[in-house]
Amino acid sequence: MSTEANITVSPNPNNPSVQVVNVSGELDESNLSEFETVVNPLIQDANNQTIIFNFGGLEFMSSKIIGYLTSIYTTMQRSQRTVILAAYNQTIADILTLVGFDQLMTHYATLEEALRATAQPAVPPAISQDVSQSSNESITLPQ
Amino acid sequence: MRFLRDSLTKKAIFLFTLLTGALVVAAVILFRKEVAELPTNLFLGILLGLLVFLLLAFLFDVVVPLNRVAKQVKNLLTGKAYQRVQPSTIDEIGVFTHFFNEITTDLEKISYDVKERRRMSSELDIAAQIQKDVLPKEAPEFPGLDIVAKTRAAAEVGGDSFDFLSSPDGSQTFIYIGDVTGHGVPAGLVMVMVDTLIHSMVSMGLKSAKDVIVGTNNLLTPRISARLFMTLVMLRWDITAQKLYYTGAGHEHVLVYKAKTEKVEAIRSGGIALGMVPNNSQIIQEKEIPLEIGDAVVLYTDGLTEAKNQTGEMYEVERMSASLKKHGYLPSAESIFDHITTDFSNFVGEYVQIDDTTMIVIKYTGKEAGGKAKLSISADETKAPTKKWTWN
Repeated sequence: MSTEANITVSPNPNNPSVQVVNVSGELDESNLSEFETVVNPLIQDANNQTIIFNFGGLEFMSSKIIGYLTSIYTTMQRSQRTVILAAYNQTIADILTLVGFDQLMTHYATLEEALRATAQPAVPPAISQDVSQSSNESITLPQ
Repeated sequence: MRFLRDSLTKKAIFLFTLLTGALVVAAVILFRKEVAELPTNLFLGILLGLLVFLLLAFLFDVVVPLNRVAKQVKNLLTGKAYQRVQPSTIDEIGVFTHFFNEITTDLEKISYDVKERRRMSSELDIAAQIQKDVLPKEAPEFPGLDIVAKTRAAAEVGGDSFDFLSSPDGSQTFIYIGDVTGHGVPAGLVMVMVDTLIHSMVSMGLKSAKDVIVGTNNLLTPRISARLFMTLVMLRWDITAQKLYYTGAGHEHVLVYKAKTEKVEAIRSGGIALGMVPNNSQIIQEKEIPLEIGDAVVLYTDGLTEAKNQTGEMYEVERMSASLKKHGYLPSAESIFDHITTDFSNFVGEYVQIDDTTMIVIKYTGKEAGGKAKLSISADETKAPTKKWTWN
């Protein structure tokens, strides 16, 4: 049974070197190849200096997707290009925070903020003692 | 002539027409020459000649090509060596010969595929065995802790891992649970690499779980694909001080049942998954989990919390915590483990799970109690869709 996701690409009219990948639905192993088919050509095109993943409508992502995003991050970073995550909800934030992925990539609360930021070079978040401390906090569950 | 050669029936009709025509022509000639009778010898000679002609035509056009292909079909059916037959006609026998050649070509391909599948299956079995050999069969003594650990792989080779290690001087015990992205052979290979590296780090005398994880990550990251990573949480049990510490590498929460308050705390393991960054030393931290007698700690992989039921609903950490809260008071780790897995089984029902599942339950029993951990590594039973989800 394949999980459903809607994946589209919308170039930024103000900056052709910025591509926005809009994803909604759920992403896991079953639709990873569909995701790759859309994203891989964008990564291979060296003219794309920044790729923004607009996860505004994304409800779930599995660890396989995080693995793919990590490989995108590594590839883009090697050629001094940038990957930005935008507009993901609390569920996705929890998943990304759990594996420490949020410490790797730049992320913005909204797509508009991410697009504004691409007017200037994006700076990856510094991996600092503060970050590690904040990631070790506990959550309170309903008792 | 192709019109005649492509069918035995057409050939028979043609021969019949030819012979009938020859008889008619002969009769007309004899009638015109006013020959009323033929000598018996001549008549019999002509008749014999016609029969020999028919016999030879039948022999070379039907019997010989049919025999050649029939012999090879018989060899094929009786399991003897067979060979392809060059079709000599384009009639039904030629079609049958061509069909035989095509069938044998396909059979050879299928036979090769079956052999290749058997070889791959055998190699997968070997890989699964190697992985099982890596997982602990015996656990060290844990003065103060009662521990149960079980794992089951969703495929022949799984990506989940756990192990128990003692420092060379015996003062520290390390317990870890890990989960590599996905499952199957790639995940299994990374799992084996990480387990080997962790064993090396601990045998080198590193006494902090942070140092073990940082050292493992430094060696692992350049050697694996950027797509692969392993989340892990490691506990360090200081036997002398009877203190428990945790160090996270992007793994699931550590669930702690407090006997005094009968509440469950879900601690984010923190850190970053192994293989994501070349140097994780600034992110990884070791922290204490204060324990009192009767408290319980549960470590698990996302195969449990992301398991779905018939309606597609996930089990989630909240249900795990609620189950631990309900059963954490039980006196042994095994009874807590059994009750949590029963709750889990009731939730997922007969829905087939697609990920590896591993859980470790630790009960702090005090210095005088405790003993060897109970371990179990289960074979895959989830492939049977109607089978109820069980650990053993």
